[in-house]
Amino acid sequence: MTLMHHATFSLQQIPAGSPPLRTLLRCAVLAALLGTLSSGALAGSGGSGYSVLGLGDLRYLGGTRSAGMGFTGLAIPSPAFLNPASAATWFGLDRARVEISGLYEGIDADNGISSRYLARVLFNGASLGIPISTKDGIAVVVGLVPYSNINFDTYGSSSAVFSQDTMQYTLHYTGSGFLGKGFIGLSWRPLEQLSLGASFDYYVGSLERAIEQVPSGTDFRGGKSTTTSRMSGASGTLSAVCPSFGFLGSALAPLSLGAVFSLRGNLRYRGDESGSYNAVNDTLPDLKGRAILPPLLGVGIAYSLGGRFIVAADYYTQQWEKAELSGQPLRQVQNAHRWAIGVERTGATEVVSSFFNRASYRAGFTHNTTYYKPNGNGINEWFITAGATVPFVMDNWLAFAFEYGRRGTTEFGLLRDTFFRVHFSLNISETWFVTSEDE
Amino acid sequence: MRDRRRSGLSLTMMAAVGLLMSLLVGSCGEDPTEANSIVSSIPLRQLVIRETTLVATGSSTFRQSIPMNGLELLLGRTNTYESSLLLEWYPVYFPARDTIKVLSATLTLRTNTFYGDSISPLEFTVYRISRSWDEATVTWDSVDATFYDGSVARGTYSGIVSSDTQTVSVSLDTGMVRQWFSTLTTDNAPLKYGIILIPSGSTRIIRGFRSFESDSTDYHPTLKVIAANLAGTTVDTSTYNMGIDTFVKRSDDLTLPPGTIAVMAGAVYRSSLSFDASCIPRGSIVNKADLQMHLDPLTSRISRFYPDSAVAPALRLSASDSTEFYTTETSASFGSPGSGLPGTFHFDVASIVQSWVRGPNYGLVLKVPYYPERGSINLFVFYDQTTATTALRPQLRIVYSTPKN
Repeated sequence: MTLMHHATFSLQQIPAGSPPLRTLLRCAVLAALLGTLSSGALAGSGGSGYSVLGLGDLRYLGGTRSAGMGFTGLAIPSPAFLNPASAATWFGLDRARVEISGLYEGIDADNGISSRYLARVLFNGASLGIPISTKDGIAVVVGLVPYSNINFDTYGSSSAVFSQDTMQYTLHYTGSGFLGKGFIGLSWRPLEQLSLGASFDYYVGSLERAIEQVPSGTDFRGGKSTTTSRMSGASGTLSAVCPSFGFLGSALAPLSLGAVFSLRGNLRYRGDESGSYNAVNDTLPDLKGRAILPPLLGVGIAYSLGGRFIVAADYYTQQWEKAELSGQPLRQVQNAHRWAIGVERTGATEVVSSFFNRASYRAGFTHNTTYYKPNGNGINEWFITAGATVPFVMDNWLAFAFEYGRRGTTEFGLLRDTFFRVHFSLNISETWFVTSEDE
Repeated sequence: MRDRRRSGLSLTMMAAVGLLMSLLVGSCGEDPTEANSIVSSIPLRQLVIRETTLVATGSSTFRQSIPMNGLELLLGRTNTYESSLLLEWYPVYFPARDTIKVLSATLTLRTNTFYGDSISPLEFTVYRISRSWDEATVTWDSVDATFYDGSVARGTYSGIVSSDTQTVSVSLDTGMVRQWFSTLTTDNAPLKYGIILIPSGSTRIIRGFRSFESDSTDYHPTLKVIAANLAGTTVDTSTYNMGIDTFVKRSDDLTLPPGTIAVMAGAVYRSSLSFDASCIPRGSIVNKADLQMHLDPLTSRISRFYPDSAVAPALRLSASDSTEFYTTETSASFGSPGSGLPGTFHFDVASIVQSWVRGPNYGLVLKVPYYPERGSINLFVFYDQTTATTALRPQLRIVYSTPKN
């Protein structure tokens, strides 16, 4: 017994596959739709105030299924879902799959005196997986996932007293942009008890932060200064899964372990500062250097109960205090640690089962010592999750996951974010390269 | 096949539902505004705000020849100025009549103001212009010996103009005006290039006359022609008040007291000032830049043409050529006497200093604003950085904000 008991269909149950072109067309339509959802027109009003720090809000990999389980899944291989966090979990892939994800994020920021609710819709990743050899567990997956993004919009005010007059002014801070990760990875199962995975990751994106000074009255002029950080570069991720420990005894057969290690990212960094002041535009010379993303280590464990239930726990750590931007340590950050537990009731595999019996249900809990450390105060967050995967036609799935949690504190003048997120993804599969009978 | 259709339908429905849900939930958030902004101690990028006062590091005054083409037409002479007036009525408005007999042609100009000795008579002679000219380009240097036919006077005037709203009338040579109606001169255009009014050497006043750009045609330079047919049986009176005009001006070299610079209208003088603003980091926001200059009242002359004492600052664009500059001519930037010491001018040069901060910094140029520069003879003499009294030297007070990294 292994943990690959996620609801799916065997190839014999499915009629002859459709041609790849149809799937590609569907994917294109869905991608365009999700792209529209994540565009600025529908993106909503904003994100967390903490995203002003570091590289912004880091996104957890794993996909919608993993999100429903508290972002666990390093030790849960699946033929039906593409977990971008660990290539080693792809070894069971038996059909070409496309998974496209979106994210609704609503954040209620509270400073202890007043609060503000901002919401937005974001693109949350897309992956395409192709099995090469089911016998050897070889599958290739390419995809694009968000790594971090910033979106803040806040104000401050102050004044300055001079020899002859006083300037009252407002400061308007805005931030936007994201850092994304494109990857192509490979799984390989050299042994029944071991699957290995590796991916080539390419990070690219730009983060823009602006400060606009608006003096009151007409005696003083204002201006806007915008700092843009562009990063790009390659890295890699190694992963492994032991899907069963049955060789140590039947009681350990449902046990699986997984691990992932993302290599240190050494990205090209280009920072430039431009401004518009007094009708004079200026762009300062680029600041070029390297951006160092610290390595990430994650380990996971999962246990299957009775074939329909999976209990999992993951732990991640990332040494953000070693992160650098152009030779300078990233400020206001700390090392991050995250642990999570999750449970899944896997859907029935029989076609004759009821709709609700074929659906999978999940729940989870996560605690995260985030990498934010404003003014020396570490920011923690926790959230509970719940999710489901429902079939809609054959081996195609619609997955949802909900997060509710809190981050930060109103002490020390900081913010407490109460957030609610909805992950949604479409998972489509077809048997490529198989000629259908009616063609 | 039915499954595939259902599959496609389901996909479409799911996508539509997803889009609808996203739109609905996405619209739940508030718009971030200053009013609902959440204040926190999360470290944001700050501005370092400083104040500094710079003293000029260099200055110079230079003469520049520019076309006048203003709303005022200056005519006359003083000890140091001479101004001639050019007029051309649009030839297309003259009907082609080869057989008319011009009985009289009268030029009427309406006065506006004056500079010089108000009781001195104004004397000038009218000559026919010999070649094409453009009011937007002609300058004193254009008016050489071939520009007009100086051998034949086409009219003269001498009189004392006692008020700023009276008219001056001059009888013009009827033979010259008859040629403006002749078809024979259609291909002989030089005869239709209008007239130039040149003040006599004894004139001691400069008069300002209304131009064709005046808001009322009653004030335009007017040509009234009374003509008859050859038999003399029919007499017509025609009036022409549309055309082009300008004046060209000469000035003797400007002599300034030591330690001063000047800007002057009419015969244009401008001044360049330079400051070392390298202490302001690039990327800084220049919140305020107040240039303070002190006027020398004894040598400055503010005429009645444009009594509002305004001087415009401009961004100098070239290290080697001070005549290359850029100005938006916004009145808010104009220097004018402030509320402090009499004769102290304050200029808002924030945009100029902002350009210096970006670089390059070639300094600034002071000039009389566009219209006064082309319709007056105002002279502003300012103390420069070499003047003995420190308090009178140009000072530039700058407030700037630098984003802190």
